[in-house]
Amino acid sequence: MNILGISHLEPSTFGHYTSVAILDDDTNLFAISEERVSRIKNDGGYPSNAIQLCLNQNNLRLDNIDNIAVGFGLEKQHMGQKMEAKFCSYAKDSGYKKTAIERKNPIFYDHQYIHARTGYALSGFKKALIICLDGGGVDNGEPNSGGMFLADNGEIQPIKYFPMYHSLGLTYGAITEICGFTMTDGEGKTMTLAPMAENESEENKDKIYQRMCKVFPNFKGTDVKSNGGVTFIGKFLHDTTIVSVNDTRLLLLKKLYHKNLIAWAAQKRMEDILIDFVTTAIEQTGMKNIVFSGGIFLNMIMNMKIQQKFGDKINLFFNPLASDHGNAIGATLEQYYQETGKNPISPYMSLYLGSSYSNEEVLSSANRFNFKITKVNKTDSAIDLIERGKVIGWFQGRSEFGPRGLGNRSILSLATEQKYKDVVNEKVKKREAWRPFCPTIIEEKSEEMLVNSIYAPYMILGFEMKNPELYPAVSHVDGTTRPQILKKDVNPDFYEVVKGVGGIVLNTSFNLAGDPIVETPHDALMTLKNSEMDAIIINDFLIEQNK
Amino acid sequence: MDIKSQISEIYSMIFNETPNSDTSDTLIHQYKENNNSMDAVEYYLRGGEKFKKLCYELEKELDIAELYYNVLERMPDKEGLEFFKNQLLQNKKSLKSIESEFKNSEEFKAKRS
Repeated sequence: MNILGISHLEPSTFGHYTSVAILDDDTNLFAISEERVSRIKNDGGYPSNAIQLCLNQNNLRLDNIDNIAVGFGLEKQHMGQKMEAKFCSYAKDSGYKKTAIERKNPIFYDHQYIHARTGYALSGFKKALIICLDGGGVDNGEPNSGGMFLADNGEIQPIKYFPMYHSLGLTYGAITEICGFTMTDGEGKTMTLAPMAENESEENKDKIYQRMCKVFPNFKGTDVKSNGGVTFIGKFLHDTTIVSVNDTRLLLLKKLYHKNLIAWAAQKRMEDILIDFVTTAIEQTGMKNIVFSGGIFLNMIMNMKIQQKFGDKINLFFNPLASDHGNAIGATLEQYYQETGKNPISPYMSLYLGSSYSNEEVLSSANRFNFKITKVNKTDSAIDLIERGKVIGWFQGRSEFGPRGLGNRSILSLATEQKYKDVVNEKVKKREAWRPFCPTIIEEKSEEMLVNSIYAPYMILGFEMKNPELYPAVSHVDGTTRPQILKKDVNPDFYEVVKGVGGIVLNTSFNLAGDPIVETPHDALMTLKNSEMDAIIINDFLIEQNK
Repeated sequence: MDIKSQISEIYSMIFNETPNSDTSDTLIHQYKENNNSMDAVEYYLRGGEKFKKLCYELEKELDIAELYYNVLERMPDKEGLEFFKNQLLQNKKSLKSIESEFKNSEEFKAKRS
């Protein structure tokens, strides 16, 4: 049984992260986001490139696909008329229904339900409470901003949903805009901006926090009361809608306070809401296993606070495929479960789910550039270059699915000096100087470096560092870090590299600011050409600028 | 965007007006004195007397805006926001009495029913 999963919603102002996945006859999983192929960051368009790549990589034709499952939230049987009309109107215009995909009668699954399925399947728990919170979705034909589910032995049952106008995701997104970043893209920047307010006066902090409590949905435990929600204005521009925040409170807060304080207050409010929420959810359900899914849980510092508060009593799992791209995989998993009653993936599976490229393909691309190409022992070369203070691109095997470079499409440098952070920010990634980087830490070193270390392979969970001053390139101003903790069997070559440079390395996704993560050797070579990176290692080749 | 334009943008965002040339020069000086930090310019502006005066008015406006969102569950209309803000600024009504007024309004009752 070959299942094609799609996460895609158009035309929607909030359509983003379009992704596809294929689960084949032998339960091999392949997944890729449209942005990786189209080279448009957060591409929310129709996933024609990604579907084609998925089929090619698996030597399949559309005829070989037995089921198509869509995981964005337009469940067919319960779909509201308005949503159906909207989708079909788009489908007619875009050719969605005209393609062979339509003839396969795709099944439309609910949005939060599929977030729940994805997180639950990856967690390995048998029985669990699943908390899903995000910007918004549709379940049972009704728009919502999250849901709570109970899962037992594969079956997932909803407990409750939260109305769309109480959206934590949209609220945090609106604040992200107010801080000068882009909603659905810059929320991570808001999170990392928050600790920059540490030197602000307690009086100012208290005042803005009180204000922020009135902007966020009025959560008390798992109940929420209305406060009107944050308000936006949409402007039609050609074939798309540009949304901007016109919430009077937020616009006034922007005048009254520096963006660092706004980010700080928003982050604290989110954390406080979630701690209270989880406390109540545990009391109400008595569950000992909790899965967190939906875009809200990309907030690694909030996740850290939840882990610190409950981690010694409750088993927690933060879904690394928390945002909407993960629903492509979730839709295939749900369809597989419906057909077989089984979960085809293993707990904590690796996210190397994309394409790989042969040495011949690498050479064919590299020879089109004026670079020096040398066949090398890749791990020895990488260790040597990093130890000599170089910033290198590391491109090996199958690409990672999701927003993080986890050692197959990564930019690497030493973590032990601040200057590496500055160089990577300014000359390689070309992004704001204050933004921190994540490290990869080999599992054996994690206890030595992190407070209350647990296995965290996905860069979805923050930790406090024991000695942040020793690793300034990967520690934020508050002494926290967001590591990938690496076991040898997950990625043996990358493990050797990290071990070879002291067990910790600065690891940031292989892309320039504003670009998607590189997918092909050509994308990597273009990044080398357009940055001041010293070299890249693709498969067995060291590729350097010709000097 | 050049430094002068960036400074002008921050100034306009806070004060709803463009800086005159003297102010602009002072702010450029602040920028250069503080390692080319735009944050330093913003903090300088927020520490000044002009901002403190504005702050008082903005806080009152925010109090009213919060009532609209939290009681009437909607964005304030421009006229209403201006009217109630002035009532507060001129000490004609307290925030508490305006809140009571909102809660006794037909709009609020209709929403509750």
